[in-house]
Amino acid sequence: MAEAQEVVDWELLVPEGVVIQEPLKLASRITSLEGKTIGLRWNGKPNGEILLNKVADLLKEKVHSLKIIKFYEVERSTIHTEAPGPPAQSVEAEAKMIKEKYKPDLVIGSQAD
Amino acid sequence: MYQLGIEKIGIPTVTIVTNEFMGLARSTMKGQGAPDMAFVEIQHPVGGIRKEEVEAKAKTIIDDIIQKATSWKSAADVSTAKESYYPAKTVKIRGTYDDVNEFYFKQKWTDGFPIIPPTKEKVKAMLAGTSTPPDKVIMKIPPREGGLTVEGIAINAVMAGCKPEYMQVLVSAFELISKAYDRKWDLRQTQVTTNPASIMLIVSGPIAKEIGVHSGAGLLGPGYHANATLGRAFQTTLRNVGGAHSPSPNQATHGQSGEFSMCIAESDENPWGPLRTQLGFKKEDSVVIAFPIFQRRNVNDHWNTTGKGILANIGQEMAVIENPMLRSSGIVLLLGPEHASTIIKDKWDLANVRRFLYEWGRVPLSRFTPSGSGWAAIPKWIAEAPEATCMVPVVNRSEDILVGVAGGAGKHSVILIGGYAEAIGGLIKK
Repeated sequence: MAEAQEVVDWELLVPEGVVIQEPLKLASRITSLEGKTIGLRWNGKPNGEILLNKVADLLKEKVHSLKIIKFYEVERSTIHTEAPGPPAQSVEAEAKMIKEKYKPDLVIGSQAD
Repeated sequence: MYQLGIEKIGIPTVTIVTNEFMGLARSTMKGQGAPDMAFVEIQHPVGGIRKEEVEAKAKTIIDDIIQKATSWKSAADVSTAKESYYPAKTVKIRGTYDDVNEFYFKQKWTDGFPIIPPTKEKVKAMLAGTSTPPDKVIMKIPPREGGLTVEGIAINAVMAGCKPEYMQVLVSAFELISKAYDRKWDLRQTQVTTNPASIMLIVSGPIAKEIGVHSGAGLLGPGYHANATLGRAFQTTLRNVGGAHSPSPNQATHGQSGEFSMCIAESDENPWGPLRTQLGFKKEDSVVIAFPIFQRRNVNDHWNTTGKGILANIGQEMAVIENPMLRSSGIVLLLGPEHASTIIKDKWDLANVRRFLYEWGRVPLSRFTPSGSGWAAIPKWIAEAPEATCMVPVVNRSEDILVGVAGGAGKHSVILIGGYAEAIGGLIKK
């Protein structure tokens, strides 16, 4: 490819496509943990529940008025990794169920290995 | 990402992620439209260590959790830039062919091998191989959620060295996967998992011969243009548009060679009917089959002269601890023609081949840990069986074992062990 090793001007196409997403508005933050209900969500990865159990203990030591709900004990169907399929449909129903049934002010999740 | 689903309905979140997985978490977050999230980084790993070690790590992040819970503010701006999927963006480079390759490699747009530069002319010529319009958006590929157009497939096909006539297979493969992904075929996990997952394409039917996809000796190795470049284009498209680059957000611990390229044809000399008929298609159809696999296991059996003996050895090789049942997938067995011939001589029909392998390909329950994300998929009869005596089949049903024929002379067969999703097939549209 002798000629191809000459310096030339290339105009080439980008192979990665474009990401177009409606910007997601995050939830309003809480400013204090006093008297709040905190949900703990485990995705089933090994030791994640041990980590969250310890986080629960440590949070209770620091903020006595906290109420902690371990979804992995009271709603075992929530124990799963990223649900298959497009993100928009993956967790909507489950998230609504959690909100209506437990009314958490904050959810702490443990991800990954 | 699960936590984003929680945020969407108005509940704030804090997400604990190990430092090794932060790239995946951020890539997934951005792909789903979130500008930022309240992450708490913990030292990797959390899994596979002792309880007291996990608890010690929890102590190191507790103050950060409280801070992120009560005073975190997003530092990122929400992008409002107007973009479109088509036509593809372009880059201008002044330099040599080697400079182009170096540039594309540095952008992570190649698999490490040299590419054919995707000029407008070459992409236009590639698009002549399909009747589907170039601006058609087929799907968004996770985790980046990049929009895949037919033009995007053609760009990657040029880079991989494909011929235009291969485009019909590639477009049909992505249309198949798009529909399956909508009904929860787990493309996301194959893209990001620590497992050595990669999707194999099997071209089945008259088109395989028409475009030269090889089903004979050495079909999984080098030397066959259509196999090599079709598989490469498919993998490169998945990686580029999905953003699934190693080491993150593709978190594969070791990866596998199938992530470079893995495309074959099957032999139609299958006494039980080719894979496409086992998937419900007609013999005269041309079909592309997609199957995410973790392992390819060779069965070397030069000694057995009976079907039963060969099948017993295959069953034993199927009995792996990485149980496809745990991953909601199945097994595709590619019998070498000589093994197939011996088995059919003994008058084994397909149902009995499957049933025999279902019974012989089992792993003691005691070798599994009954926890973790996959365990819920295990049927109740296994989950509650006495650990000392229960033997776990590697698939849920005997019908989850597909039996194809491929390869050349020799006393070998290959077991394709699936992971995350079952083998699916779709008609190839010209």
